[in-house]
Amino acid sequence: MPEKVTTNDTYRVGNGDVFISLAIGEGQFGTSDVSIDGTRLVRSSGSIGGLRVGAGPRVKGKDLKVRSVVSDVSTMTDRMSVTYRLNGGQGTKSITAKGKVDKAGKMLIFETTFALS
Amino acid sequence: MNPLKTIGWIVVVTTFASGVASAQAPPVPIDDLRAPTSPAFVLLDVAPASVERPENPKAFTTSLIHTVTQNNGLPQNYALEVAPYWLTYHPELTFEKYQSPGLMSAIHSLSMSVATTPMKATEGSTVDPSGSRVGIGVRSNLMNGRFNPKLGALVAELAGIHDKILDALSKGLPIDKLEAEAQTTALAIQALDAQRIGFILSVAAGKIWDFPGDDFTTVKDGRWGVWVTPTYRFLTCGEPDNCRATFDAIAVVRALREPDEDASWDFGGRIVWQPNTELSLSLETVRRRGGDSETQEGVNSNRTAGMLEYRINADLSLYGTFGQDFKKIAGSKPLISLIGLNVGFGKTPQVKAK
Repeated sequence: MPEKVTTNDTYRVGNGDVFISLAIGEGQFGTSDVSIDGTRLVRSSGSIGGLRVGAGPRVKGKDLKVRSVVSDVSTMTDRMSVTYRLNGGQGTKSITAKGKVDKAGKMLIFETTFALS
Repeated sequence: MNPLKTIGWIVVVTTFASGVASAQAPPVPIDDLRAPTSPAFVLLDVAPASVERPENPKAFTTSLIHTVTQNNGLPQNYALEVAPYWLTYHPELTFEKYQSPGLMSAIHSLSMSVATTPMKATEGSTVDPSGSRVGIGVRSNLMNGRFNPKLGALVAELAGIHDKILDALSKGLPIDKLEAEAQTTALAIQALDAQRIGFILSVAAGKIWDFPGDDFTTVKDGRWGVWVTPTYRFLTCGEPDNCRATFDAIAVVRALREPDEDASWDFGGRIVWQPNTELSLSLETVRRRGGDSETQEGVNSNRTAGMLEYRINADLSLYGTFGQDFKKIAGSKPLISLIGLNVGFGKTPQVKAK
């Protein structure tokens, strides 16, 4: 089983639509599932830009979960990172989860959950 | 020369370095290890090749070079090379930006090196040459070619494996087999990542100082140089998926200047044939012109050398260079006979998730 990088955070929604973007850094390649309360919104390889999660009042109290499988495809580094950016609520939140594989070509699983409040 | 001592040294260092590498570091991908042609070594005239092959710098590389004709049995030339960009995280660097960096290639490939070698006696001189020469250098690829055309298919294959892994994870199924498939494909992508093709333009510069008697207060200004190395690399095989054979055609134009002397110029080229991932063979010739042949070594003469490089394992490469060096002031044309090891520590071994 690959190493897992788990992150938990919160995001305060407002009355407008909530959006999430994510970027897989360090030149690595990954594929992500974005889901809300267990219902998948999208699966995509590489970056995801401005995905609409839903209207603030409708998603309030739910968990927004992003699971990314990232493989070490770079000859330059074993580092990996996934940056999440949420907006549309009360301000913009950006966090970066980081990890490193112990062997060339291995993968990490990043699991980040935002409690929408 | 003491061949037994030389062979013994290689065996000891190879064994030691293999042990260190296997204990501390994961396998380094194909093409990550190469004979050290860091600018500092080139300026010190101890590099295995005077015409550098363009490469992606590792975050941290150490090099030892042993001259076979030396009889003390120990290497006397050491170099460290660091690529600062790869020492820190870069969350903004997506796969697409990494593969097609544009002008950022100059930053990604920037490396700095420091090297040291013993001072050598000038032919006919009775002055004690004891002391050290220290060189520093920088280099960068201003243009870094393009990715291998087979990359797209492998990336699509990896995306398909990721899909299956995500499906399995959502159903709580084991992913061991899929994980192994993903690693195999990722390593194949790494092999292509290290093998960029097309036009690559490298620039380098460096400076050396002499420390007679190994006394810091006796430091003397030495040579400086700046050079440009355009390369064209192409695949020498067609469609087979496992084909990695390449051919490099490399040119060099280099300006060198000794303190209080006129500048001299190097013009030359090198061809490199790499039939597989373990072996590479090359031949280079460089003509040095300008300067003053009465006071500057190598002026108006050629250096011609052949080089063989073999990857012992994923962490170690062994190389040898043989040929004729630039002419000395006294008129002799020294034999080039180098054997060296390159040990890579660039892809750090520790796993620390978050």
